[in-house]
Amino acid sequence: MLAMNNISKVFSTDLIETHALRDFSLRVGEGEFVTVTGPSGSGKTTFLNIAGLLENFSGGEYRLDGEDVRQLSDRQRSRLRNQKIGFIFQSFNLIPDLDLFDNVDVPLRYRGFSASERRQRIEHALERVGLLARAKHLPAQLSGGQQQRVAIARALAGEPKFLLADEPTGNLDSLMARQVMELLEEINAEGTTIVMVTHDPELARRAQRNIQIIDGQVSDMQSDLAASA
Amino acid sequence: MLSYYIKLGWRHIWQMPLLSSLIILAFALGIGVSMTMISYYQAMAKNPAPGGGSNLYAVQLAAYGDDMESWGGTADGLPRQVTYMDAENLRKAELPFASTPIYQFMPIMKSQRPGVGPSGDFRGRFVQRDFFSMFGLQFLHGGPWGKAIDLEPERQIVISRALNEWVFGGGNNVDKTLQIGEDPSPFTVVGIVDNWHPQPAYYDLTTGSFPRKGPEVFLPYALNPVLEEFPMGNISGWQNAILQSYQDLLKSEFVWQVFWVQLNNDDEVARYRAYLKAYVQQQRQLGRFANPNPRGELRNVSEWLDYNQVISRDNQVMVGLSFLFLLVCLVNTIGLLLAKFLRKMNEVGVRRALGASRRQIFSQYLVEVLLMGALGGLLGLLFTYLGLGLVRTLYKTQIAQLDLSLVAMTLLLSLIAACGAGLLPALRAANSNPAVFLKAQ
Ligand SMILES: Nc1ncnc2c1ncn2[C@@H]1O[C@H](COP(=O)(O)OP(=O)(O)OP(=O)(O)O)[C@@H](O)[C@H]1O
Ligand SMILES: [Mg+2]
Repeated sequence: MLAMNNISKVFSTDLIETHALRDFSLRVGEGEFVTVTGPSGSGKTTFLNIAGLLENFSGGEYRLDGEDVRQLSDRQRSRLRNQKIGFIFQSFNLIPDLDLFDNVDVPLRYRGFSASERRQRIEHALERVGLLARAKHLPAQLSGGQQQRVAIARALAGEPKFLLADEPTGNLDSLMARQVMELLEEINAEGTTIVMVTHDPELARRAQRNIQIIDGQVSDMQSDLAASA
Repeated sequence: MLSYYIKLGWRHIWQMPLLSSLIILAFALGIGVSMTMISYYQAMAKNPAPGGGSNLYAVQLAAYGDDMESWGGTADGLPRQVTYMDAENLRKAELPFASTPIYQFMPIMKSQRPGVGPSGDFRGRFVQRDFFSMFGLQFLHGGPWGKAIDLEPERQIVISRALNEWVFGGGNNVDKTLQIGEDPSPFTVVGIVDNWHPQPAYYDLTTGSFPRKGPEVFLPYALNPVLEEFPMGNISGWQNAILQSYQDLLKSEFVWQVFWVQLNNDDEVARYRAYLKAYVQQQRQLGRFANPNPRGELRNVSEWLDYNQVISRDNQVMVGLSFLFLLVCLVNTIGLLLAKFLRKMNEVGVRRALGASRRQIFSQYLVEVLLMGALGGLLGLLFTYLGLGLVRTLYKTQIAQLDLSLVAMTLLLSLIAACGAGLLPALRAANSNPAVFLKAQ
């Protein structure tokens, strides 16, 4: 599903160069649920952004679903992002002036589905996270946990193969965090590959596989084995 | 996708009403001011003559003596008008060219309908038969007087549709008679022409380039010495002549009428020039044209409009300034748009993450600016309308009306302006790094 080989990412500013990732290699197989942990500033978000084609990398090779992404144009990357990848953020990142229905609609618009297909998918996705009744509400009218469920519905509506979550429970209390985690596990059980960054060791342990990023590198025997397999 | 972008743009406009209305207002002011100036200029720059009047020539003669260097007041020192004597000679010349002198008088008309006031406000012109075909007047009934009338005048008259309605209440009134002023002898109507009021009034600029009304009464020029209708226009001379009677005016060296000749090709122009040259020489032998540079000159309608400075330099400067103002408005708009879009950067990041390409983000924001440009254009149209009203009161004219082509041009200009102002901000939004703005919350 995802294969990174010796990826490096350097942020150059006027004063310093930050090596956010160095010799970063990782493989994630189809249907896996991988949690990513590591100290703050170690490069977890950078890794997710590169994995999700939101950010370019300085060196190395990255294949997504067998496709070398270095050659792709912005349009092709955007299409890949739209069709194969779903994003979930710590801060939900719902569009505040759109109601839930229109928020879930966003990726479907860029997909070019017909109005009836979109409606069906939106209703189905909202139903799935238990918020269909509130489709006409604005994000600000919901609790944090509910907002994150809407973000998950939005990520799921296009039925991506690959879900990237950056601390999806970071802003939630433990009860809500557990609900969100259960939802993600359900989704994974249906076949969606998930990579989730988390600071919560309990949640990290629940996944089939956990990798640790330290100083821009994967420091985990298990994943090294997977990479060389 | 376009309807989606329009929906989003519309939403964003209402979301930041203050910023949006400032942007729309900046568009509207720039558009309103420049369109007002453009349309005023355009109206003045019009050449309303049939076919641009390229075959109609105003005739000028250096009809002054006493060794004067020039007449003054014009670029080449020639008077704009000709004397009665010259008009008589030119119109009776044995040449196969249509020609006519023109001068204005103020007829006092009487309506034959009961209860309609004693006199309307009408303008008249003394002309020859050729006038009607040369200047493209449309006859609704009858036609011009006969050729012979230009030499052996009879009391015949051509009136406009409006005057026909005012005097008779409309209809075909050819062969009916009407009276002018206190003159007891009636005039027979031979023709009724459609209302004719070209702006600028190129045919006789001596009574104002943009007169309030067009001529409604046309009388055979040959009746001029008979009727002794005093000219209501510019009369100027270089001698200290004292006029005791109308006949003195006719014999004087005062200039007070324009003279037009129709020349259809270069040969005819050359022929007429040769004729003018010979005419000037002949008059010199009679003691007239006693100046160092006796000559005649021909100018077609567009040259005549330039020569008479119907459009002044001020008008051109004003148009330039108004465009500068539009530019200032647009630069301001760019700043406002950047501020507006900056507040939307998180949304841009989200949309990019969910699959929007740079191009789609660019299109979305350009549509939003175009939407504001269109609203600004509509408001600008209102400003143009008000501005033209102001121009008309200030300059006391009827020209510069808001017509359909002007409306289309205003809306087009506002969309072009919106494209110009929106390009940079929309590019900025499209090329931002989504990862950066997704983090910042
Ligand atoms: N746009 C950027 N410009 C410059 N440096 C950056 C940029 N984004 C990230 N970095 C740097 O790269 C390193 C890795 O950052 P990253 O956000 O990936 O860390 P993280 O593991 O997600 O941390 P946290 O757990 O706090 O979210 C950090 O040192 C950070 O300062
Ligand atoms: Mg992070």
